[in-house]
Amino acid sequence: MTRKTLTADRRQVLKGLGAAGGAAAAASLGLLGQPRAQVPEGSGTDPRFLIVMGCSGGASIIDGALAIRASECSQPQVLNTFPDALVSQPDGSPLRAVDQDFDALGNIPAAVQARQGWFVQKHHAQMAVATWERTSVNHAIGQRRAVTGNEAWAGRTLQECVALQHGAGRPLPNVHLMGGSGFTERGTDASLPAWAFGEAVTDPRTWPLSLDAVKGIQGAPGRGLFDRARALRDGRVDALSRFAQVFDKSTRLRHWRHIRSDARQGIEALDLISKLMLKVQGPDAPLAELGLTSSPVIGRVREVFPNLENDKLEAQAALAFLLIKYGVSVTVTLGPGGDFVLDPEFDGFSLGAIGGGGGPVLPVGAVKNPPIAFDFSHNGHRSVQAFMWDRMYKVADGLITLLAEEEFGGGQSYWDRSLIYFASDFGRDKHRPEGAPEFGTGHSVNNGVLALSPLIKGDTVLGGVDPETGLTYGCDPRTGAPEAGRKNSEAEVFSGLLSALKVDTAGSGLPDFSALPRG
Amino acid sequence: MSRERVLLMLGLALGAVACDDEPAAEPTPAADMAVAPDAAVMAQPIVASDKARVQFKGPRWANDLAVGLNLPKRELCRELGQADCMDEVHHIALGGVEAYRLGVREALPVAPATAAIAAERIALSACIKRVDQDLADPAEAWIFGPLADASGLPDDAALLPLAQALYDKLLRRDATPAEAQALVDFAAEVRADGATQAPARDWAVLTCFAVASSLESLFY
Repeated sequence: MTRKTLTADRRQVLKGLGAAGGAAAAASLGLLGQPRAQVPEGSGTDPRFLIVMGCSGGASIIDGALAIRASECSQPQVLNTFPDALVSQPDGSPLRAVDQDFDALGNIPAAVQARQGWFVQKHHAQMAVATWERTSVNHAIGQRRAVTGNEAWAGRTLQECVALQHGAGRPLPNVHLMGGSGFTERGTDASLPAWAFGEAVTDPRTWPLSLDAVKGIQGAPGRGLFDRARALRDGRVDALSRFAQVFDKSTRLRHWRHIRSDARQGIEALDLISKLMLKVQGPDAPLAELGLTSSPVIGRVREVFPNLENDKLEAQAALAFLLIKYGVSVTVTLGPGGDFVLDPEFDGFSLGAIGGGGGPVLPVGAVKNPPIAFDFSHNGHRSVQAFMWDRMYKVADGLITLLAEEEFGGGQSYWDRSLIYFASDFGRDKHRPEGAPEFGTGHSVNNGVLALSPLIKGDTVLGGVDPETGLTYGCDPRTGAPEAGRKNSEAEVFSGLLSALKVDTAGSGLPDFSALPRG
Repeated sequence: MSRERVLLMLGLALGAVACDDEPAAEPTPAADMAVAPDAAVMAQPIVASDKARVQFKGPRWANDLAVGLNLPKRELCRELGQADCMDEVHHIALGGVEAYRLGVREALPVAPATAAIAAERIALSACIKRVDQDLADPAEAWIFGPLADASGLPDDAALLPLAQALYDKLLRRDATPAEAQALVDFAAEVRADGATQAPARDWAVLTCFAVASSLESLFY
């Protein structure tokens, strides 16, 4: 090969790469002409609802539903096992719970009272664990693969699949209430219609204010005149602008024109700024003076999520319920952030020495969220896993309560059509220093995933856990029979969740995992 | 070698600009920075760009809006009368990032469906603020002082300079005659609206809104 040939080839390659990159970038924006993905016939007419609860940092399944009793293990002092008395199990169920108390949350002097027993006792008939072997211990990658099944279906996320199948005609079918995580990354299948991709919400308490351009703005002209001013802008100001004409082919300008017209009309017409408003009249929210109102069901929502003003996870759950109830969304993604959240009542509290050196300890309930959520297990695995599972269970229970109270129609509640998926980055190490009651752990690819729904086979563990190693093993993907030498894959669990949610996977090439859905 | 030579020359040229001994010109008010369209350029037919590389201004748009309306940025818009619209409530939707509290380290790749409404709320709030200040204190008015004493909407001739001023302030260029006339024509729609109690104010607010939330204002 001559140098000249080499240069030419290199240029061609670079040119090709550039074009491909540009196309990929444009495609990832969902901006290349008409979407190619087929919207399933009847999309939106018989919906199912997916609630993804992102357990950022790694929710260890053997600290929850698959906890190991010390008596089951020949060397319990070096494995992550629990004293038998702490582990409970509903009669006839393979699912377990651990109830624990701590006087520190990792190295934060804060008392913890973590209870799983009530939750498992209440919901075990609709709980299932599918064990799985993950493919990464990197947070961002693990999170992404938890919702794409390791790119099992053209890089679509679970949420996008559900939005496509069930969300046609809804204003915002797929809403991401948590940000900055792999659970809420955009999928890579650019053939999907733009409405199937996630809509980002950064603060559920103020986001409804972005659902109407006029309401709540003091001194705003009347709606009729305002709409005529929009027409002036769209029809004359922009039409006459040399800038807008020269760059008329810009995908960004076209997208903006779309969201300020068709998409905007679909949102404002439903008066979502009122229906979804979590704020109540008060000094920090003079709603009445601004012509605003709280959601019609805010009283009940605040009963179930009383801390939503101070705890963003509760606020996310409250808004998630309203988005489903009012027909806005078919999938919502929520989860704890990575920031330390302290009840404002304890601001300025004089803490004891870090590391258990004595002094005052924050009481139970003072800490709402540890830093980096489940990943604070690096500092204190047992207390942090216990705290975070307790936290996630409480929020899930609140959501189930609210959804079960709402009638969907035909004698069904919204909960009858919903599935909560506890998505995790990965698992955690299974070992501990000999006899240590508290210890730090690293990341592990071995874990299991918890799902909660009337749409799945409850009281089920698809696979099992070896009490001598703490490692989970898989099952027959059709019958669910445990197979000690098998590992369930990310694609299988992804497929099983979609099947439970009645997503048509024909032609996707996804593996069969019919052991998970009910009937 | 030739690449290095080019870089060297470029560096020298930039250095020359930076070390210019000429005294710096007096800062000019934003109004005077408007660029008059070159008649020859304007006469040319518009050819749409095939590449059409356009960027969303994102949070920088609020800076332009603040300068154009001569308002402190923090006063442009406050949701519920308290939270800053651009820096807090709508920050991420409008292309911002917030790594520490929200974990959002990169701007959203595509403007979310609510971004346009958020931008409209900011533009509308800012224009209300500007108009109300101008009408309350015409001696210190930035744009709309001549409307302070008007009992109703003045005639088109009186509105034309205000329409031109909006382009000057918000888009940093002169309006074409057709563009200015479009804003003036909107007065007829305001007059025809039976609901408005303050037609002059509403015309001012809404024409300001139309220009402030236009594509040319939001993108570059």
